[in-house]
Amino acid sequence: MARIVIALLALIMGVMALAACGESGAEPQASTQAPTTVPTESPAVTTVPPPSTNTSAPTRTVTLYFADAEGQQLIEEARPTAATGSDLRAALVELANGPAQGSGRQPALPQGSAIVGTNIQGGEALVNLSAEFTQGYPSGGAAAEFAVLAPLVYTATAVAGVERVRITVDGQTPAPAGSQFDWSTAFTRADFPDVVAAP
Amino acid sequence: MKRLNLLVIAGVVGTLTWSASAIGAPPLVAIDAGHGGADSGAVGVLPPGTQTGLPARFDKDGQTVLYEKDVTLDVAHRLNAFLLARGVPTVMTRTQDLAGGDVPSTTVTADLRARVDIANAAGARLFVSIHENALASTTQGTETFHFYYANPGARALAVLVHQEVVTALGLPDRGVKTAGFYVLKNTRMPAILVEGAFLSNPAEALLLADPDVRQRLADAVGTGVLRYSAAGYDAIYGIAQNVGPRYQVNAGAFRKLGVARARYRQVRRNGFSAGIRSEFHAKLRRNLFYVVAGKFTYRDNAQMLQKRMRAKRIPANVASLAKRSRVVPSSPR
Repeated sequence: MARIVIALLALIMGVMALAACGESGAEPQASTQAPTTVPTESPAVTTVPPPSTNTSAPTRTVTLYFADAEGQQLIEEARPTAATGSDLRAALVELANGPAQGSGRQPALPQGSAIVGTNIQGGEALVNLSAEFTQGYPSGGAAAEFAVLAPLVYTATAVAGVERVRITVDGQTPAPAGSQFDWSTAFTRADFPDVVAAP
Repeated sequence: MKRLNLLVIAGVVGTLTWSASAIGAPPLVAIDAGHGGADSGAVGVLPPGTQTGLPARFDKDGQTVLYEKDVTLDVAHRLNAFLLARGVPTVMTRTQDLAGGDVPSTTVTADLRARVDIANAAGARLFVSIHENALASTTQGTETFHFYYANPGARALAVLVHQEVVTALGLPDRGVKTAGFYVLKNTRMPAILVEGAFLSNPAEALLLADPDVRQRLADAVGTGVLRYSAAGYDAIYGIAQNVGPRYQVNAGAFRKLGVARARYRQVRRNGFSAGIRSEFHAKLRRNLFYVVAGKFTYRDNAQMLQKRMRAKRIPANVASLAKRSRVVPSSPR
């Protein structure tokens, strides 16, 4: 019932907007990202300390995604972790550690890739990786790119407050040779829609 | 009347020849050979001494290998010949072992942008990017990509081409998929990216090393393009005008309608159009009143409005409509 009321309200407002909005001559639609002017949402900036090297008991569980053996879909994994820092950093550190042994899933980040820095600003995760990421990036193949990039985008956007992911390598926009993606803009799940395997 | 005659003739002959001129003039097709120049693309390993009909390539250990960039260029030339022979005009984004636009290697983004620019500037009505795949040595099959939030004609084209390629190569069907590849996102016409087979799989690499197989692949892609044209999809989906809005310029979102109205009036006072729309905000889990100043197909245009608004001290941001879009392509699944 509440849904119907909301839908009706949206419809009425939509008609109002249509009457008023002449710039594009079309009815405005949903926005996918939080405008900076939403008064209730102050952009949180998190600077993350480097991870501690001691192996203590898991303190939280992070949600990870890895490509299946065939590179067709992403498999969700809830992994307890002792990694320190923000949820984003902890999740990415575990992503870099790779899939569980014997799971048959594809490793996500190229060998040796390190999480240099993470930061969340206005719904956008800034993920700074080490040079190994570009060096080990697949030279071609949609399936190979999917196995690297989709887990990164899905894992980061599984963290509360993250809608998009901007990836840098040593602080710069990377240009992995052979990639078919635009690295100068942030990635969203819309770059790989409908790819998570049913549990 | 002339068109009617053509249609009648095409109806008789069409089943035999897939006459591209069945409905209107044949569409200009942009053919994009993936990778090139310094960018080899995926690399497949071949048995020593395999004859490929392509430049001989060896890895640092002296093994015979097959570069994706060589396969894609060869298939692109064969596809080009196939279409030209059937009266379909084409434009190639590269014709040599160079980056997009036949220029010596550039950055990966400039390379991809050049390919898109060529197709857009030429007024191509279809864009077909030829690639070969890679993952593990056991991964196999054919997959074809379109971008979900682009022209729905892209899915129709992807389905038709994919069917043909799967039949022609006889490899496992990995499906028609969607991904935000640069060339699919930024071209104005229905665009697809075909991943014929896996170079990382030695058996499939050996297939691609065979000129006859590459000819079959090119013919299959070409046949899919002709089927798209013959089905009248070009007239239905056209190019940019059917893409629909992808970017929205918001001048804020508010909990209170009164506050939104004040912003709305400010926007209007400064000479801009505006509307107020109540939309569910996923993160806040409630509806907000969005002050919407415009919707655009291309980001550049949205950013231009944003800049103009900010110059008048009106807060404005550009939101992508893609993620929550309910626009489902009506093409065959």
